[in-house]
Amino acid sequence: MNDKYRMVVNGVLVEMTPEDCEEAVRNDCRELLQRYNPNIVNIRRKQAGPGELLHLEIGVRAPSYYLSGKEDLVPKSCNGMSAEMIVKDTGYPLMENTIEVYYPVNRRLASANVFRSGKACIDKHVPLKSTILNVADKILNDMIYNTKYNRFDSPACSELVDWHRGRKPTIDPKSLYPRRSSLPPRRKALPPRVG
Amino acid sequence: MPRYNPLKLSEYRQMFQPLKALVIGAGAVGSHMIDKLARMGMSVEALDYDVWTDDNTAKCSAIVRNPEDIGRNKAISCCERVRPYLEEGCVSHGIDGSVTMIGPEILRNYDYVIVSVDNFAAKIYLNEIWKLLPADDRPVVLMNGTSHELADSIITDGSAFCLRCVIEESWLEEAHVHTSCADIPVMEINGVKEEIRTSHNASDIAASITEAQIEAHRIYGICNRRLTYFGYPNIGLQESTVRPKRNCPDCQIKPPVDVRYLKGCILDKTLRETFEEIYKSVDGNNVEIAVHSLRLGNRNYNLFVKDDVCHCCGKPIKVMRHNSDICLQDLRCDVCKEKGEKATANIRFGSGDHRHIFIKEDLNHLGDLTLFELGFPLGAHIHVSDSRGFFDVMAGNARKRYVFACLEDCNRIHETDILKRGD
Repeated sequence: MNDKYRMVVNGVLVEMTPEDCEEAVRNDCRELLQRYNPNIVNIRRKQAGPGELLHLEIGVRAPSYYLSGKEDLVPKSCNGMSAEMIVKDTGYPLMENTIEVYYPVNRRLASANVFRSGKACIDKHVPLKSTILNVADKILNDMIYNTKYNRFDSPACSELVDWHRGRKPTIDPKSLYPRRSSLPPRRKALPPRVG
Repeated sequence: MPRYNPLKLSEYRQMFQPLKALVIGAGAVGSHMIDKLARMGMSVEALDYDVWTDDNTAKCSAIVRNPEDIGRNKAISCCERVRPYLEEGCVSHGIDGSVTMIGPEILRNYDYVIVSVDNFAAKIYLNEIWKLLPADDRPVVLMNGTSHELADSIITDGSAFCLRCVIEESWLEEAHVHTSCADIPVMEINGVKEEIRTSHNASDIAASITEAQIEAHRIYGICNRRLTYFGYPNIGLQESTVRPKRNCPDCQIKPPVDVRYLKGCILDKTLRETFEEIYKSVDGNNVEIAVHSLRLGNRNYNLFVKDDVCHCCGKPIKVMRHNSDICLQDLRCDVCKEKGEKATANIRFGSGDHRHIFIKEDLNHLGDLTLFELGFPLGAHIHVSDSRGFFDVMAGNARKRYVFACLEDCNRIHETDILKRGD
């Protein structure tokens, strides 16, 4: 942590105190907890460890594939997948590398975007835009093999690229999000009364 | 005792004798600066990590001897050469090290700090640590340099503008480029690549006008201005005022409200000793010490790398260094180093055990390392957080945060010849 975190973003100086970072985490966490379909997505807060602002367990109750160890390269099917998301106290969301996502080594997601150590590869950091919301989106969609979120140009686990490329989503990606009830049909406005 | 007649020199000479100056960069301009400061009758310390070669002695002061000083550290050799004509009671001392090896507390020692480096990253770094001192404790800073036949010198006490105000933000995109000391320097200015060539004369004049700025400040209190010398064909000297840059990032830097001091020095103090003393100071034992955060040239280095993998063969390796001290070729196992294999930045290597804080559980493996070995520069501010039990961000309970420094750092700089880590 520092007294203040400072970065020039698009030519403008942005400063955040550690308290500002905590407030940003609180706001984003509140939104995250309401963002997804609770029937499919499970997000649970865990006790934050030293140097952590937030520690979440994030997962899906949907078909997925896992690997059972560092050397394992044979994906096995399963009915659910989960990972741990950690926000470090190092200047979220302004500074780089404040968010990390880990799968357990003996049950890591079979994906070209997950290292053998279990660490998930998340996209390049963009100051103020890379938040737990878009990281959670990426991780959850990775778990159900939504092809829109795959990155094969710089894979964390190149041995799985061919296998991963052939995957189709295990569930409809829209089911990660709550169904919005449709609005009633719009009534035509009556003409104004005259006189 | 100097062998000269003091009646032949300035009547103001005695005003400079108790003063101490730090010269950052002892190259072309810096070597002239060390020479002039010593002749002014001041004590001078200099810091540079580079050595003299046949290539880079072309523009330096005549105090540098070729071939005797070739291969020697620039700061150490220059400070040694000026010793015969130091005023009585004055000292000159060179330090082999980079500017990133010093922190804000070191600058308290000095009346003047002269920045004679050739890259913007170092200038910005110095500016940031200077601004972390309270205004009353800050030395006056002078920044000088050359470009073609132009020589420039800026003096500031921080009240009107900072060093970053005179640096275009677009130049910081190539902040690491050394514009003088390595090969024929090329820099992109307004989209056009230009060779930056300067003569020996410009380097000498940059140091001379800086010396004159110091004299004017000491004798008449003149500060916060820029002097620019224009060479041929229209030789001239221009004085200008510097306006603070709009939204200057570094003008916003405020010193910490309260700095607590630990006994000893960062060079000797182990992590274990530091924790013990901090526990007593904060009256608690649930503290986290932040790994030193270094921002250099748009990159942030704030991790201590305990373990990683060899970036040739993937075998686990022990690293035990701050990530600012690591280059890619350091991440190789002994076998790959011996074979001369080249490390690659392939994403498949992932990352090892990288720490952003130190906690008491780290004392088992890291307890006997000194703070310097853990990445803190001499004179650093050490940021500590006390969470008093587990921290729940959603509950909004505030963490207590503290800033510590080591009391002896200011004095140890004068006894240190080499300020480097590792190999």
